[in-house]
Amino acid sequence: MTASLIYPERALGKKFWDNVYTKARQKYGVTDIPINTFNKVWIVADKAKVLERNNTAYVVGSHLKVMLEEDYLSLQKHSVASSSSSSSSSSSSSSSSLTHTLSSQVIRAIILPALEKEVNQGQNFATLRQMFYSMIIAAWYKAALKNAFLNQVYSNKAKTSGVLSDDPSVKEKIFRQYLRAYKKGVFNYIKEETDSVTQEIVPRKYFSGGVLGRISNVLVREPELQPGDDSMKAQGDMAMVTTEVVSNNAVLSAVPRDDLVQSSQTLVSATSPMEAAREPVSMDKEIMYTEVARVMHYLRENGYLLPLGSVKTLNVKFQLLDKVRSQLLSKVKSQKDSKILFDVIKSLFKSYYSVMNTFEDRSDMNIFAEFNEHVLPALLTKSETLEKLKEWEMALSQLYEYRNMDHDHDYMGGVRRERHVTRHNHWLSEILFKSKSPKELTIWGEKTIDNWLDRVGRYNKKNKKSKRPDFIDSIPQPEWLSRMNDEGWDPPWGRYDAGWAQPVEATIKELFQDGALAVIASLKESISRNPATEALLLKREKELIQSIDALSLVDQKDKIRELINDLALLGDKQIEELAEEYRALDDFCNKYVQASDFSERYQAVQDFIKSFSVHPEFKHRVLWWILQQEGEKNKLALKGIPAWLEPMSQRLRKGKENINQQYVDMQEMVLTGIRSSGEISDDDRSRLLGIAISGNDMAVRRDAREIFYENTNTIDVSFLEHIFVIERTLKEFIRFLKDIKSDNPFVERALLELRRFRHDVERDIHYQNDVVGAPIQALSYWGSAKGASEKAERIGHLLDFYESLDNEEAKDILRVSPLREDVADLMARLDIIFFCL
Amino acid sequence: MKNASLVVLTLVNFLITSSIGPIPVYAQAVLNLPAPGVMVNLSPVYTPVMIKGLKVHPDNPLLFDFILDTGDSGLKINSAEFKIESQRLIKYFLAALTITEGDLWVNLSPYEKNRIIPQELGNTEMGRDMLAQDYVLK
Repeated sequence: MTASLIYPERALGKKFWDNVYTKARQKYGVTDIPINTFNKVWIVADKAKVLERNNTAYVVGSHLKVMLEEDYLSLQKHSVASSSSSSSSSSSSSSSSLTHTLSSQVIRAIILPALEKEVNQGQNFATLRQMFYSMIIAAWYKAALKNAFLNQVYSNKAKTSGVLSDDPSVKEKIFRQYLRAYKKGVFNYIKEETDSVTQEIVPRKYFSGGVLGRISNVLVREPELQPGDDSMKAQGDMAMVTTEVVSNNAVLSAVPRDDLVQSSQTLVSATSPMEAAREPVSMDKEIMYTEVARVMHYLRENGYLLPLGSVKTLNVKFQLLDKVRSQLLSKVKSQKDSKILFDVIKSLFKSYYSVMNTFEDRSDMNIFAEFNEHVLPALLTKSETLEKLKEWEMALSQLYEYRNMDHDHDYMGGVRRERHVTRHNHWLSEILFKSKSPKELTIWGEKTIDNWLDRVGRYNKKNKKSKRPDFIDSIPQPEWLSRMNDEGWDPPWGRYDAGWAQPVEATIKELFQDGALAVIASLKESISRNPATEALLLKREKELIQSIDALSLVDQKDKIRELINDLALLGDKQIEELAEEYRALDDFCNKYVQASDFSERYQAVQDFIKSFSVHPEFKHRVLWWILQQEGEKNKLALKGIPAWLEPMSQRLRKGKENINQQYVDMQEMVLTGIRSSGEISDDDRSRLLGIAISGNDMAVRRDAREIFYENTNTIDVSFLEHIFVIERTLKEFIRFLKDIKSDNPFVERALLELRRFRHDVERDIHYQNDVVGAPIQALSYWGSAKGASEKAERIGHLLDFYESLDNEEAKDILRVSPLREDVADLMARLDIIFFCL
Repeated sequence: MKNASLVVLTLVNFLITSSIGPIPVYAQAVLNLPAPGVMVNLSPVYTPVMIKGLKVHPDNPLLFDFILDTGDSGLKINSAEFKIESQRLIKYFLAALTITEGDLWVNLSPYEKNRIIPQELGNTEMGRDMLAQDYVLK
């Protein structure tokens, strides 16, 4: 077209050439100068105005501008055209620049106006204008509805499979045809000229350039029709074409099914307040929420597997959750103290659950899982800076530590486990090293046991002698236990007592196996959330669990060392510290083995106990290993140690049986006292519960339960029933955990947590079956609450909450006995579990 | 005799072409584009079918009402031709939506055969039609 316009035999072309020659004559005094007519001409968007009204956009103004490239570049230095400027400029040699300018001026004055009119009105460019209008509408959609679903999954994603051309090679065909036209020439009137510099024949009668579809820089959005705008009156008939872009297959074929599902899921997190802050949303949020809900509804109805809540309440949920989320984020943003941050996170996590619990439609509580799966991770990963992310991770780590801290506070007859283990270690080492001979060793051990039994017996005897009408108000166990603790030693009735009655080799092997896993558990607690570290840790843990039975103790130790060293190589500072500690352990082992006499070995052990702490339980097991080594050196192994252990374990069992009977007697007295008192206090209810659940005798438990039923209100009875249900289903829960299998790293994390949980629960069962500790433990668990009503209320809320979840996972979690954990501890665990799930 | 006839025919043909200039014939090549060597004349004012507006549905973000003007096409809005035409325009819209603005360009140039059209746009109907229009522009 452009080349045709300068055909000199036509009016416009003649005018063009007349002007060129006139100007040439004026400028240079001659007319036979080479005129460069190779110009780059671009069609660009000049005006695109859209009227917005009632969810509808109308194009009320549009204009395409035809420009020489040099003009275009002067306006759009940063545009696409700029990248092509080098090639175009090369066509303009310095010697011809003046004449080029001359022709440009004439083109600009004569040709371009005609061309522009043709582009904007002529039939030749009707298709171009059709595309231009569609581009305007698309540009408006992108700009006005940034958070629209289609913009999330489709816009600017180059998903063109629904709008492809039938002939993929058509662009090459057009280009070849263009080249043919270029070589042939539309007309042969203007002869090819010889370049004055290169002396080459250069075709100088064509136009290059192209079409640019950049609309956004000229797009104007108006709420009202402005003077000068095009009328919305149609040129022809107006038609409304309704299209559902998914169902008409264009988008559906372009966006893979999985992507569509994934995009709709991430849509919620993608529109978090942080994102919103970065990109202001022109669309009302309510519309956005509704839109998301509708998209999800559509996808669900069309068979997409979306783990989402019901559409009916989804909108409400999003609004509520958004409020909580905003609150959370604002607090997190403003808070730098990681400990406070942790508390904030923890409390607001609970707020999430509260919000989730307020929805009317609880038929589809998968929203809960969805929220944990998508929104919370999004919150964690969408932190604006790395520092913020680190703060989050630190807070989460503290959440873990909080949970584990409570583990350490798990009562062991009123003694914190850590202290208990530490003292037990000392006790073992004292037995070992203070005894100079097997006989002395036995005597010392027996003396220790006797001492303990005597203390218990004397205390109970003393209390039995009293009339104790007020026995109910003065529970003796914590008192005498604390006294024993104050004296610096613990009764050996803990979970490791079984070791005393077992063959030494098996015991040590078991202890080391547990120790290896304990080290890994310790690592898990201390590592940061480095994905590589965690992945390696998981892998090693699996390998270790699978192979641990086949490994010797030394190999187990080597495995652990290898693991820690590997983890340290990943650059985790905490792991490095741990590795350092483990190397200290290694040094100790070497020192111990290489020690020439007993005093050196003793010193090595003392240093080890004082200066090193990988994990209290592991240290405990190491001492057992030392015991075995020492026993061998003292000719006690296999022969001496079992002979030493067996009578002690018999005495211990006997002692326990006696104590058990004493407890049965005590519990019966408690029941008698409660019966005779006539009125039952909250503390009485606590004791009744303790005895009903874990009394030392079945008859005692039954009696306690009956009294409890007779003297408590409905809420308490309901609470007790909950507890009994929980008791019965605890093992089912454990089986459920074993069935969890998934490659999902979050589930994998959750599984690890649940395994720990199960381990703890199983340990508690074991301990609770211990006839000695049951009532103490039962009462200890409830010691933190003021009374039965408060406990019932606390547990009641918890149970209501989990019941409201109304899905299988929640039912299984419901089966976990809150009796066995402090309520806060359980909540923290479940927070983590739900987060991971 | 035969040679004489050929000479006369060639002479007449030369006289016709030399007196009226290049013949504006739209030879069929690719996509009804003007054949090489054929002039492109200015065309009459014409308004094609165009998407003039768009209505979105907040309750269903996948549903769109496109407001179309039949312009001077004379197409009946219930006709199959109009339906085909409207679908083409909707595909333009979708292509413009899914392709980033920076990639909406064509550039026919004998010196830049590697910069004719971005890959994604080049595969679409809209890209094809943009190239065709650029061809006409030249």
